[in-house]
Amino acid sequence: MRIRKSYLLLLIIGAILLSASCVKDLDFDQIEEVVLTPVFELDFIFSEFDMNDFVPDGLPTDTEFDVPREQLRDTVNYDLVGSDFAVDNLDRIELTFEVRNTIQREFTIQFQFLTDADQPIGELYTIPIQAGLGEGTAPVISFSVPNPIVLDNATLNELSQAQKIATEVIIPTLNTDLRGVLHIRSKASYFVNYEL
Amino acid sequence: MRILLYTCISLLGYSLCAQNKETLYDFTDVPQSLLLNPGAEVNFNYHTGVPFLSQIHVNAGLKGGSLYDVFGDDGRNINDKIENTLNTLTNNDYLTLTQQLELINFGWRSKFNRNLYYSGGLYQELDLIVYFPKDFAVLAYQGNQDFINQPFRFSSVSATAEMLTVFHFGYNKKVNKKLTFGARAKLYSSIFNFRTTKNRGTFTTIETPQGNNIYRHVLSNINVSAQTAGYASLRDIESEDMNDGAKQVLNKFLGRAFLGGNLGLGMDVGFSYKLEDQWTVTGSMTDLGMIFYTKDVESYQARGSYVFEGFETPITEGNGQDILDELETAIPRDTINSSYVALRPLKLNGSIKYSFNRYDDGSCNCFLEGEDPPYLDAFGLQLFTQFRPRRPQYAASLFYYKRLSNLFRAKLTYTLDDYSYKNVGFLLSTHINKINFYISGNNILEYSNLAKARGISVQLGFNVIM
Repeated sequence: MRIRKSYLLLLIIGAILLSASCVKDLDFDQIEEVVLTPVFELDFIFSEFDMNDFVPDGLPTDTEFDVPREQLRDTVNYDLVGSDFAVDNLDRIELTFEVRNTIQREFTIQFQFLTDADQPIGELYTIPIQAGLGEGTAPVISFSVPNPIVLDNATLNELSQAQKIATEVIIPTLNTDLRGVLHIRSKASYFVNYEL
Repeated sequence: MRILLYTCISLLGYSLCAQNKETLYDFTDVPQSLLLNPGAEVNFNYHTGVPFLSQIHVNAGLKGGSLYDVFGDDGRNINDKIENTLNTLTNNDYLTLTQQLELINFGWRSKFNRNLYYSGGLYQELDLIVYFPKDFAVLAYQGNQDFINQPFRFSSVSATAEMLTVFHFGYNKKVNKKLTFGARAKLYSSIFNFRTTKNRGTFTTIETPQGNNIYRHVLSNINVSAQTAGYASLRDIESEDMNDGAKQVLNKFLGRAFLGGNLGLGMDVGFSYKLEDQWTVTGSMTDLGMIFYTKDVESYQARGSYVFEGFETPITEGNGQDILDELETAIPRDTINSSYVALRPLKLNGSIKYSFNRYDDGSCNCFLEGEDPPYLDAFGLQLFTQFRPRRPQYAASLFYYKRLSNLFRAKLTYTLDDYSYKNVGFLLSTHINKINFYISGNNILEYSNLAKARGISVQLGFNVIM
């Protein structure tokens, strides 16, 4: 009798434990709504153009000269924009250019995305640079217009074949008396929108 | 990513937290107390566990948060909840899971020396601890934009996982009326092991107003590594047929479980000491040992430093710049097959107990001949520490033991630990003839909603005790 009672008690305790222990008020379907929206800041291109390196030897003072265009053109491998990840999961890329100039000339920077076969794709981006005040002065800082340059998702879709980026500094006619430095700095902010 | 998340969740879902078994410690009515303290008092002559059913133990803990914090059905946006939880968690928060299944457990009193009790057996254990890698969780979830000039530390990545079987044999000696001493030898057979605990280095995005570019991205003194044992050969199992693949894995696991894996040695020691008739002090040290990983070992390591400042243009030297190539040269990744040794997580237990209300109405045949009848009530204090990769875990418990009748014995505990300040545990042990059944759980106040619980431990089992 006593033993039967104990079994009954055990059974009741077991039942209470089982029924009382449960996981309530949880909704795992919410996982479908999880969106990761980190923002990554990474350096983009940089370049330094020092007049001293470009004045040809042997020219007299106060003489005008031109720098050959190909010296200031460059192509960099940059396939991030063209990746599936970028097209699917990047909300936008913001490109910030900050150019410091002490050379008393105006310049222009252009860049263009290219396909693997070097075909231009998308827009040609232009950044006008104000003239500096000469060597030893505080640099005049120019930014891109607009600042930043926004590559939205639609643009990124357009650029899905991009593998490279071509840059060019367009230089007006220079003078052997000019001194100073043109310093291009830039960064890209990647706005991720990643749905699980 | 999704799979990882689901795995974490399902682990949490199954688990009902650390290896503290506060209810079972020094609960001398149940032979499994000898596994927590080989020097526990033994008041029986023979015991055997019901194979596979003598101890089923699950223990899971989540320090710093609960499932409810993220998945609660409270109408708030899950992304806000993740962000809140992320902000409250630190690198010292962790998830633990311990599961044990006793396959065999037996013991007997020596015929030649009635003060000696031998016990042995075999159990399987799964032990997992994953520290919350806060720095990289933040990097993945928020990016580096808001954390310029702040280092992301690789040391925040720390985890160990181990599955093993333990063969053990111990002896327990009642030295005199006051002192009982015991020791247990253990042979570990590791089924698999994964550990990444000594990671160093930082990733920092530094703002450089006078530098070449707007930032410098610095990977500084990177030294990250992970050791695995028992993983490489599983990866090599290539089978089209899922069932066949599963069978091969199972066969490998079984082989390793029975001494075919990486072997290790360890010991437990413990004592019980009666200060006076009613006061008892106990202490034990369990799993003092190590495993030597020599077979099927594969480790991964990456060391070096790297600085990225963007793409220089026009490029003056070479043609083209591939940052991934540069990165791999600067921080080479190696796969190594050298042996390693890892310590088992050492556990320390201690208690002081005051017993009262002696059972001496003469109706009880519940004690050994020549001994005094047992006390019906006891209360006291227990302490527990377990050594973990980053720092030890601690717990302190107040307990009350009650012998309700010959059939029922119970213990109630109140524990302060890393997970909560309202952890109430309960153990009930029934002794019907020679058959013993015990069931125990902690955090029972949280049973009405395990989702809000930060840690739960359950153990139950059947024994035959004479």
